[in-house]
Amino acid sequence: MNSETTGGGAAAAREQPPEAEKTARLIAETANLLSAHTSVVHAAVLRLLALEARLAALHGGGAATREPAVAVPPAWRGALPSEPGSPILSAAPTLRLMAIHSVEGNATLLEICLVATLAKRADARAVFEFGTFDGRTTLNLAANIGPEGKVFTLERTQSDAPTKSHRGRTHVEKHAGGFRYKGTPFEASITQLYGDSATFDFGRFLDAMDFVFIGASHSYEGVLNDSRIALRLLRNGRGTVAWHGYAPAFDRVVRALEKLYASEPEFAAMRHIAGTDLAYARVSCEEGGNQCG
Amino acid sequence: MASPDQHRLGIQACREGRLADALSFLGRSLLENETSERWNDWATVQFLTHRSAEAEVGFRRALQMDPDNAQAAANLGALLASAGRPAEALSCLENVGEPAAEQLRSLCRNASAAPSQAEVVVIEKIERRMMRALSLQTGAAANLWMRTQALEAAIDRLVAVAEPAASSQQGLIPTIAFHEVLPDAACVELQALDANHENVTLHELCLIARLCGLQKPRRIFEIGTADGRTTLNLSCAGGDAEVFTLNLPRPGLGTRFLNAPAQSKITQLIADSATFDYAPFCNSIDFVFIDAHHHYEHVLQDSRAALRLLRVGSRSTVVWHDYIEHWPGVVRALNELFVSEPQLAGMKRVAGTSLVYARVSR
Repeated sequence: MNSETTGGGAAAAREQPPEAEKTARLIAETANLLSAHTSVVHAAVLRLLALEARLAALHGGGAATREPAVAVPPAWRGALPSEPGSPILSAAPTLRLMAIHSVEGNATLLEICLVATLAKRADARAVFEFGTFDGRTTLNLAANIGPEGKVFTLERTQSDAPTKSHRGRTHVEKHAGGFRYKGTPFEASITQLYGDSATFDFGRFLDAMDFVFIGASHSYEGVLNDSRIALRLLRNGRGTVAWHGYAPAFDRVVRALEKLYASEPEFAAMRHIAGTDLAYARVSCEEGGNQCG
Repeated sequence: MASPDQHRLGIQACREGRLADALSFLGRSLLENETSERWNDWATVQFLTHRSAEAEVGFRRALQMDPDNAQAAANLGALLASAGRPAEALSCLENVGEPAAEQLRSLCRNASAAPSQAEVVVIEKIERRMMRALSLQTGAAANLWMRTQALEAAIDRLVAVAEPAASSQQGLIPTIAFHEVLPDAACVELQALDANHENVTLHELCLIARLCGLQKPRRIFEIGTADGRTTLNLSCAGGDAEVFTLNLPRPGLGTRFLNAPAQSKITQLIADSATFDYAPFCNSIDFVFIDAHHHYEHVLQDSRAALRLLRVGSRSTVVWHDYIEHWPGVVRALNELFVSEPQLAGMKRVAGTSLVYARVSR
């Protein structure tokens, strides 16, 4: 460093080696080009804007549809605190998706992705699902919890293929072609159970699960019952519980979840995932705490 | 809640299209700490929700706090231009980048072989400004490209009105059911699942990954990178395949695969697909995904380029995005290609999506 150099004025008088002169010229040219480019580009944008406006007027003065419509998720919000789904997904590792085609009554593909991500995030080895429906969520849970993972899924009765109607949401025939996990490599890690969750003997599943998904009952009492069982299913009272049906179409589910959120300390972390029908809660209570049963 | 969170939440909400939420978060963030950046963000959302007067106040406030806030200057310029005040807009935009250039010129006049400490500081400052001016220019270029595309789409829509037969026949290309391409037992592995409005849908992403996986390509070419979400997933589905992806310069280009493990397989090409020299890639590609310019002529051009890219003597796959009413240029171009290109006679549209694909033998 030249400590005797005091400022720009002195520098001008200094003799410039040819290299520095060349560099200086190059920099000056670059700077000139850069500002010229910027003004050209801006001028072009302005002219395009004007053209667009003229075109829109020619077209009948209708709304200028400049960009494709942004898909804004429905703005419904319940009393649960909500969080957006995209950070959950953007932080997710690779997901394995199967049975992608959705039928009426299915969770959306986005919801499937979120549920699988939540299970992965809980590092789930054992998963319990209330309500198999067509087995699509079951399959995707099994596909994403590792080769040692097990999914236990409880469906009300073996034979039912009813058409349930939930205010415009018609649940079509359930297993026209059997559960959708049948015949896939993940069938082996899925245990199909049958029974009514109100009377089912959960004995051997208690204190053994890392992730519980509740998508079965859309009745108030049913959701309360299944959720309380879910707490007892979690290994050492720790894990994640997720619900489907937190949406205006299922007002009884909404009421039940909000009641659980308000009254059960284990569910204090419950969140609605904005733009979906999902809610989830990470549960972690002290080992041996009697509230976890 | 701490102020940075309000700001971050506001940005997040804005990205997700929840503009009312964004506005309230950003408003609160301003109450806690006024910065030029925050005023600019708040005003941007006002602009997006068509409150031009508030937006103008906000942009001017941002510039008042930091006259070098190039983004705010560009935004104010765009606002004034769209409000039919081009003279003001132009003067606003022309100031952007000028101070940096002027300072650079004065420095050049005083250039010395060994700069002093003070000069080093100035040079570093200029470097920073230069980088900002450059990124601004990239933004302006991207804006230009988007406007061009919007204009061309508008023209395509006018053509569609004038000659309905040419482009509105979405039924021309035969449809295949989703589950025929992607049966229940098929498994696709995906990353970067969160979508923004310009991304393909989740269902489409699954299909693209599936078609790519079925092809078992050695080399993949993507025309239109955008944020790189499909690029990342193509490289994931393509196993060891090399992936080349072409886009104009734009902010956020390829951010989804930056620093991902798959990045080593991906080569970003930066050019206009209409003028790009495809020659070095001809006869070497097994899978092409086209989602670039949506104007009729460009789609034709990109598609014909895609055919030249394909490996001779083998069976390859070409996939197009946005075969929907909203992009009549794409519909018209693909309809024409379906009828006129014998190699593309096997084109199929996947039901419930905007994807068209063809298995092509060259």
